[in-house]
Amino acid sequence: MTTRPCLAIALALVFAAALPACTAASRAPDYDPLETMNRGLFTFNEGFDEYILTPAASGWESVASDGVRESFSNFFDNLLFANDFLNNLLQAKFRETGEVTGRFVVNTTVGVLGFFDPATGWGMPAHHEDFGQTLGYWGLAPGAYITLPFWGPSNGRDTIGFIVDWFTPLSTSSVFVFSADAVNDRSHDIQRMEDLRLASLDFYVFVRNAYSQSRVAQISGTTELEPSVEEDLYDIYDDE
Amino acid sequence: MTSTTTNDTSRGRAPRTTLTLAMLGVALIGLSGLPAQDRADDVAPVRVMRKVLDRIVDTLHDENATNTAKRGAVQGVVNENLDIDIMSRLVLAKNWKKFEPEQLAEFAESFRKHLVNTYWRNAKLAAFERIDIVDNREEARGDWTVKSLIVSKSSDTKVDYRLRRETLEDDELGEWKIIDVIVEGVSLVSNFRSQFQEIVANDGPKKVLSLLRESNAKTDKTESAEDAESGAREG
Repeated sequence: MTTRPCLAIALALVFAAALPACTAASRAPDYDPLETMNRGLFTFNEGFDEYILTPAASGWESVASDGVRESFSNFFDNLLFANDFLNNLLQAKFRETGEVTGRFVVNTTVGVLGFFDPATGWGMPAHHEDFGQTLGYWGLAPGAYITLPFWGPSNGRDTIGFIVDWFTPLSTSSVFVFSADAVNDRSHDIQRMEDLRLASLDFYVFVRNAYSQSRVAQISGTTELEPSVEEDLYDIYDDE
Repeated sequence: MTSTTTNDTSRGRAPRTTLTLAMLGVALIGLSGLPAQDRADDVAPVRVMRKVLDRIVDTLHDENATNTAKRGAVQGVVNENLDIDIMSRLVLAKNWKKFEPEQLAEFAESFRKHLVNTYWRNAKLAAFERIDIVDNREEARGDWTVKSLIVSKSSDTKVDYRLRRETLEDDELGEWKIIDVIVEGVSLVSNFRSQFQEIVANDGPKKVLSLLRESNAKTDKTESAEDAESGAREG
């Protein structure tokens, strides 16, 4: 089978899984009807991380100081301006839209093309938003959990968001920038990723659940749990 | 003379008498070191968490303590303040019934060790300046959530602690204990419940116990190597 039909089937599955997006099941953090495929892709991503990404990140970490790597993080963050602007605006977060605009102007000029971040100190903090968050903000449920090759955890809604974000001007839409950002990002977390693996007993489920919960928190803008989730989570189960 | 409160001072209003100044001085000394939000929140679960977090921060920032001593102190504090029986019931949920009594006892002990190890691994890497308690609120079932913010140079991290009073043998209520930790909206209880659900469904309770044993043994081995290394360095 050639790559294209494989991709077409995978995408068809993704959108088919995303269709029952408004059912209660699709809102649960472990709604994973594509688990077999997802676990396969997860294994692939873990291999890619072990043999390609981590060695590249370790190499970069050994030649670049913390400050240099932090500056590159600032630079890549600054490239997310169009996404941040568009998605804050689409969520009617007007104060945040203004702040990210001011932030982009300040960091691109005074911050030397975004390598430095004076804006945070001047009261213009980052407000990162993506199109998946915008869709969630307006009520679209996440749909099925999906592992994207090379990228990692996602779901039906966030995969649509990912595609829109990818083609947003100025975003990290070139493969080179995307890869450089990934290597630089990973260089900050080499030990932490190892610790997360040690902290989990099933790393796939750990990632799936943590991703789903953190997206809910990012979209709602609060760490408070929904009442139905809260009730289920903290009641002692007893069927006697 | 009108009364002068700390709020007046925060708006920059000058106290007019020596007595007011003296009272203000006493109040400020009492409040120094506490985040502003803490002052009105003098409730038992907040006091417990403030004590726990202060002990952890002091230990981690102690430049004279060895890694081994820090690990022992941090793990001790976490150990004392978790309600592992409740946490075990919450993470196993309906799978609780599938474990034999002796398996449940082993689970509680292994899970406690796993949590304490995990906390230490994360705490020792954390390069933070301070931890503020920023808010708290009462929850259903008499639980309490204490919200904290780990403040560091590059970014801040929101960590909420959910506490419940332990039930003693005579059904009296005991101390406030931690029953969940929620990091940036990710509940540890929810996360472990998902993992255990999947493992029990596929391979049964024995697999959960063997994975916990393996993980704890791996950590013991790493810690022994670290202790030997730090002993050799100090020697």
